[in-house]
Amino acid sequence: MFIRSRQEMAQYIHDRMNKAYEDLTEDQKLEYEVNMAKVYLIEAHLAPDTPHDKVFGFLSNSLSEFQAQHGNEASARETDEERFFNAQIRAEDETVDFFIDASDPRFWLVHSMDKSKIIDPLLDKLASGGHELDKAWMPVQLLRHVAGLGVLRGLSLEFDRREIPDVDFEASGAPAEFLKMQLWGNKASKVLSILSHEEAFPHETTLSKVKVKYWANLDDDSESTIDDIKYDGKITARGTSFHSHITLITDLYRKYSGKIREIESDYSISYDVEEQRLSVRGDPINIVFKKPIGDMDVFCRHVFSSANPFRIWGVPVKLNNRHTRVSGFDLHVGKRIDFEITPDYMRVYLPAGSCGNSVIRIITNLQHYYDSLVDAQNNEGRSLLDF
Amino acid sequence: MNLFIGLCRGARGLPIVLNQQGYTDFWIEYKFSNSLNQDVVPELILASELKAHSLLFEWKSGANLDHDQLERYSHVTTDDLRMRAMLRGRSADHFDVTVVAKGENIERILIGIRSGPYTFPVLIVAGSKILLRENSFACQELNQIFGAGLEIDWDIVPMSYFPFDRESPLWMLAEKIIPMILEYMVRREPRISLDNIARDVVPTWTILGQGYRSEMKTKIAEVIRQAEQYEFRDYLRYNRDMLGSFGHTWEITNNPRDLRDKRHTAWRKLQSLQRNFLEALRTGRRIEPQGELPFPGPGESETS
Repeated sequence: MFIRSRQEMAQYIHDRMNKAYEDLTEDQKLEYEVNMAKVYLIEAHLAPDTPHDKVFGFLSNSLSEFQAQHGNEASARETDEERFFNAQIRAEDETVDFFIDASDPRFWLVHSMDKSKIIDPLLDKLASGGHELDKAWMPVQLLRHVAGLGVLRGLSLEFDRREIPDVDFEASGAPAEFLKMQLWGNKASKVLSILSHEEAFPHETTLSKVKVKYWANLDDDSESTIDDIKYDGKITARGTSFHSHITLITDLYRKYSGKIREIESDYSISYDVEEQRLSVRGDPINIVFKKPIGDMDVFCRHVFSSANPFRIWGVPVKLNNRHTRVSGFDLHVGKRIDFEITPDYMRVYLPAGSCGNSVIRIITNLQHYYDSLVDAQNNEGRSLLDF
Repeated sequence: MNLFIGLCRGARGLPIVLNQQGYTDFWIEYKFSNSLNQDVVPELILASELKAHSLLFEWKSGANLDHDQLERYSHVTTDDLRMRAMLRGRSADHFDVTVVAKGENIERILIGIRSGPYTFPVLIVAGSKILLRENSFACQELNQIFGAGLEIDWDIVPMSYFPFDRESPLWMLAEKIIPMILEYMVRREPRISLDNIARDVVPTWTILGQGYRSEMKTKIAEVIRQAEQYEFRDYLRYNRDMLGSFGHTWEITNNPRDLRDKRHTAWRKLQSLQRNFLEALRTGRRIEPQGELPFPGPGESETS
């Protein structure tokens, strides 16, 4: 399949969404995920003004490397439009098609109508194989924000403290080790509120997916979309309107990319030199824990293990019982990043040229694997996760 | 340095009093001339437009004061700060040259200050406090803050604005140098030159004098030499052939980026090697066998 323009893609996905919606209405069932529109928010490590040719070269190289690494045949094609590409990857005897909108060379929208079962592992590998591409990571605060843009119709919670076992789970007052839950229906908001209450499971109630019904045009509720938005940047949509779907997604993506840019411009540490004068710009970001870290050594060993989900390389250096320093290296993006960890907070120093995505990914994963209430604050105590 | 930058910025875990008084870290190691056209180089200048006041810091790790240096500071004027140190607005209206010393050295420091006599406020680090020990500030709030002693939780003072200097031990440099080498690997750079890596890991590089630079380069070279000889010998090789043209250079001989699979295992191995490397540099104990030593020793030429 070859799609030449964004307009053609919009029409194609719109038609497929409507066909699926008719089938669903008639048969009250939908073949598993077939015909549901999928979008993956993928962050490419390119400058905002990267021209078309370079973006295409970057995509082609990433796919070549992917093919060399995993053996899946992969290729990209240019279209009639600037920074809009088609890509094909061969997997499980099928060819899957991706339509890549790189209007913003850094923040791509990767559309597909193929099966998640095949696409998801491919994109996982693509985003974790090299250092050029990464998923967009949605902290709980951003998922809550997007839920508020429409009507919340469902949610998933995922929390697994076993990834960072710094406490004795058998002790009284120990946190829940694991919480996973899916809820569909119009009570989602209420259930979320009950579970997040301080008497319930505030530290473990971590949103991993929200199902949002959204209308781009409030006067016409027949033109709607129901999008499942997952914390790793995967969005699955059904409904009658591509227009509503893309409006919701781009709104979300703008919030996300704006936050990444804010982190890089206001918080990355740089040293300005002008005529033999030096000054420091930027400040660390404080990742704040509502409950003190139970065991600093265990915490650091797991977070800085190079392994998924954090993928931060680093050797913790214990300065004293309350302070550990890690001169780290983010394996996702191939850049340095430094940490100072205390029981109550972690200062994150992002060197100039490093990627704000690193910070958001760490926070999001801490919310899923350590404490749902992890926040990021500046030195004045203002949350950086207000969307 | 890190402490006072953190105090100005209201870093989490530190008192926010300097931040509340409007002090900002303005210049670091900035050289300018006094009214007699003699150079002074305060290690840090803090400036507050709110309090119409600036602080020029000199820290003394030992017990000796450089009288010539103090004399030069005594001839700094507000005009020098405005026109030569470029302080903004009212922040140059008043200023204090401030000496910070360790509590155990205070007696000898005071002898030096009183011999001037100099009116510079002297802060001492005593236990958990920074205390005003001699003279006073032109800013009354600072007299109150430091007169009563500013309580610092030393355990959690930020360390990473300026992670090391020429007095830092090798392991502290290695903490930063090896991640930088990993970044080169990801960028598929075939080799590391001493000049480039020094520039990349030392934030103050471009403003350092030749002597300071030379000291830093010697230390950085020593860290890479040990890395190449011991823990990271499978990844780095000294290139003697490039010494004449490019200075000290090491080839990256093994790059996880080039692996088709098992990349993750390779990165983890590098992490384990770094752990051993830092431990060896800290303790001086290393159990791995020593390889040959192709790295030129002291006295051999370095063109860079």
